[in-house]
Amino acid sequence: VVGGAAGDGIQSIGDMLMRIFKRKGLEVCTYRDFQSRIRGGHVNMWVRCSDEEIFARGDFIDYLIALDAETIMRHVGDMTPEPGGFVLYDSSVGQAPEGVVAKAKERGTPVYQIPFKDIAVKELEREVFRNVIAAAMLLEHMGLDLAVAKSLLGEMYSRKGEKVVAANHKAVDIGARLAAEHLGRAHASVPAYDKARKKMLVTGNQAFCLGAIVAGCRFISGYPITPATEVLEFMAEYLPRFGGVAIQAEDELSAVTMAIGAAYSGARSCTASSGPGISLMSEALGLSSVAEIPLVIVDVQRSGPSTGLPTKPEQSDLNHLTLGSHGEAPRIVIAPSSVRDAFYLSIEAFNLSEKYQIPVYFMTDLSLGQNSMSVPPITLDGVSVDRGRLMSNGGAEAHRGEHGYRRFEFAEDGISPRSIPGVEGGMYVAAGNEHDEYSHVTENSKNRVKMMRKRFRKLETMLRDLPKPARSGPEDAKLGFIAMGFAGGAVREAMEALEKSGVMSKLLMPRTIWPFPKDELRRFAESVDSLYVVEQNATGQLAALIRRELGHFAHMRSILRFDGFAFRPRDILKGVEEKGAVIEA
Amino acid sequence: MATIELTPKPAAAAARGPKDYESTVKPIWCPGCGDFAVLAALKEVFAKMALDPAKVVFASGIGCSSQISHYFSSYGMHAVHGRVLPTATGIKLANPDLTVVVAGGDGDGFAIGMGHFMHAVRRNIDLCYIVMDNQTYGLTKGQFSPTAALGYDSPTTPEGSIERPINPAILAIAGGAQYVARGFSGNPRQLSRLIYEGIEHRGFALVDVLSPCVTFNKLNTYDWFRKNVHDLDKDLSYKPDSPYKAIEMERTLGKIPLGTIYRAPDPERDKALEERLFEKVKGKPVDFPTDVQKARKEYETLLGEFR
Repeated sequence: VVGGAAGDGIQSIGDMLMRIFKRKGLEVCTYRDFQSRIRGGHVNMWVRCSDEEIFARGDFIDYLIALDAETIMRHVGDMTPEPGGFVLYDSSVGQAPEGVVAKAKERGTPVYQIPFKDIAVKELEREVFRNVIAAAMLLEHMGLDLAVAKSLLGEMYSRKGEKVVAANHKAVDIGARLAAEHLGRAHASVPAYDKARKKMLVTGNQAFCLGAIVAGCRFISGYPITPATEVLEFMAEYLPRFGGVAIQAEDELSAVTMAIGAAYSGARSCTASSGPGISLMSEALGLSSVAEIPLVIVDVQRSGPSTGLPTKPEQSDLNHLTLGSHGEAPRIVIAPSSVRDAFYLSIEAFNLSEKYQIPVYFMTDLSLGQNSMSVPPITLDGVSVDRGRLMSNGGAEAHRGEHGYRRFEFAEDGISPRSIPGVEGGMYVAAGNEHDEYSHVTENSKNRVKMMRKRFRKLETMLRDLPKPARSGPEDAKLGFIAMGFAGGAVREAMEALEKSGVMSKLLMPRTIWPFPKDELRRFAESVDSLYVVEQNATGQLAALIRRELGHFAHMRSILRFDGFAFRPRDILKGVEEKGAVIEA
Repeated sequence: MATIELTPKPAAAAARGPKDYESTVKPIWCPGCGDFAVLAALKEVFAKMALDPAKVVFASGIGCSSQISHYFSSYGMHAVHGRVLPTATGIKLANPDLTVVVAGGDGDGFAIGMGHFMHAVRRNIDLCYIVMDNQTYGLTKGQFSPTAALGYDSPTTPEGSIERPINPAILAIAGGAQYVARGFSGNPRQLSRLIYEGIEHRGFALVDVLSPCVTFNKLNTYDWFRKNVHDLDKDLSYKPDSPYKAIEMERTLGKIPLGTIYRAPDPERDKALEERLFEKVKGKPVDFPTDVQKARKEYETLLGEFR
């Protein structure tokens, strides 16, 4: 873990470590903890690497680079109980607080107090190099080949000129020297470099975007908001290459209606936001639903309500996404089970929205969206675009009636023939008002009932087509977990720990939240003796949804966390031990 | 400015008449409503321009006047209250080949939709925005609107409105609009010309139409307008080529000017948003590969950047 004040370059040092580990062929998972401000305030980044697959932020810290006193005070209690861990403390402004050092000693954690900033200023004339020096010291100790670090720094700073690169290289050498002076070269705690493991390194937000581009999404309109901003930024960078457009709207009301307009024209379009923005978009969700215009809305959930903890993870929009917006508006809510799944589910989102002419909420969370993870390379085998019942020229002829084209024909499966501007004979006026088959506004009560039923019929038609849950663990395990998004990673690692102590367990991650996957969840719930629903909110929204749809389960308990931090594997173990728990830091 | 006759597009001129744009939906408007004149003018203009109804999208907001999209046989979108401009922006950017005409009322555009109005102006997206401005909320029965006069007596202002009205033309010009006009339902000939010019203009065009509400607005009637307007078409001294003079005229004339208020002289014309966007972006969002495997190579290059 690297920690300091915002503006100290914590993320760049974390990114550097992450990339070096990844180049060594290791699995990587990061976890960022930051505040809603540009400078000042505590920031830390967890970089975890392993030769086995990892899915979550770790339980404990092996190595802590503390650039300020707050970092060491906050994290000393999280240091590993295993031998070998240590703290590197930048003592340029003074020694670490005595109490903290004593506490570290009690836990058996050495604290090395080294004036990184002073050394950087003295030897390289700039304090920014303290980050590289500290990181290199750690890497040397871990037995990593520093040539990899040097070549990476060379790539990162080549644009800034040879001098900067040379200074960075010198910083690496200084770090190596300090390691020899203070730490000695350690046991080779890092496994050997395996070139065959060519992994991708992506965040959930990036994986969504990559999927969107492959799915043919060529229009996005968004409004900056943590933690969804990167989606708009990524698309603004990459879409033009593919003939697409990214627009920064004046607000979320505009962003969502622009996306609906683009979809009406026949583009595959989306918007991405978080809590407050999703609230603003929920009116237009109804338009997309009633006028049956495809739409994909990404909700990278953060802590609410209102502004809440704007930079902290939470999974508390489930009620809003499944039920929000006035009236009764059919929609789909899907949730990727991992960073890699975000790519494939993104493609599914666009296919489902066009095939069923319906809005799709793509529900992720801050931790899944913003953290980088190494994932097996994404392949395009079997990936396809399905536009559903989209009419081309001449296609509308078969659907003509007395008043023209029956855009909203009362189809048996609920899916009417859709046309887009440019298609001859397919003209219709999309309306948020209730309408008849011709899309003419009417308050006729017979029509109202028929049209509502037609729209809701789509939810039944799509059932076999919806993304199936992700499962892990043996079928016959009697301890079961249900989780969504990033929380699933902590559960998977907890399951490994449970297995080591002889307890077998299994996990189900519903990738479709709405329409509710009744059969799968009932079967799973009934197949175990104790069931834990793990979710990052205060009221257990997923558990409540399960109860609402399937009835009461005496053996179902909640493991909840809403204090602004993502679950760690040990939180899940605690939850099981206590038969349900609310986790606090 | 002298009255300009509409010049029909030569080749297809005979091909279409106003009836070609008629839908089977009958207007819900009260007899005498100013919006009928806008509807008639639009059909005339569409016919004169020989627009293909399959390539026109008529987008409208919510309110009495916004029903108008249903009265055309073209493509259309009857959107969310106040959000018609962003909706139309999405429609146009996804397929810049479409002619997108936008209509709504003063409440839709200048109250709930004001933010979007200024941003559509600023972006200079190629839309012709026709506001049927009756200074009141008709569909909810006569409350005062952002363009209602001081003192306007309404159910929500029983003592008369104490809020100053806005001037949409001044706002549009201040925001950088390149074509700003004001029409009047009582002057259909001029109205057709203004709408024609607005649609022809490449960029954002505002045509604010004084369209009396005969049921609720007992102040701003046809007669009242006739006494209070000043027809720029009959005033040879005014040239609509300066934004500053246009604003000055709006503020000092003492009457409501009708006609072309401001039209950017061509060399000064800012490019429309989609012209700027698609200079760099090749293709358009509606044309995307529907066969992933055929486009596989390109996508694999992209994915390779994250190795």
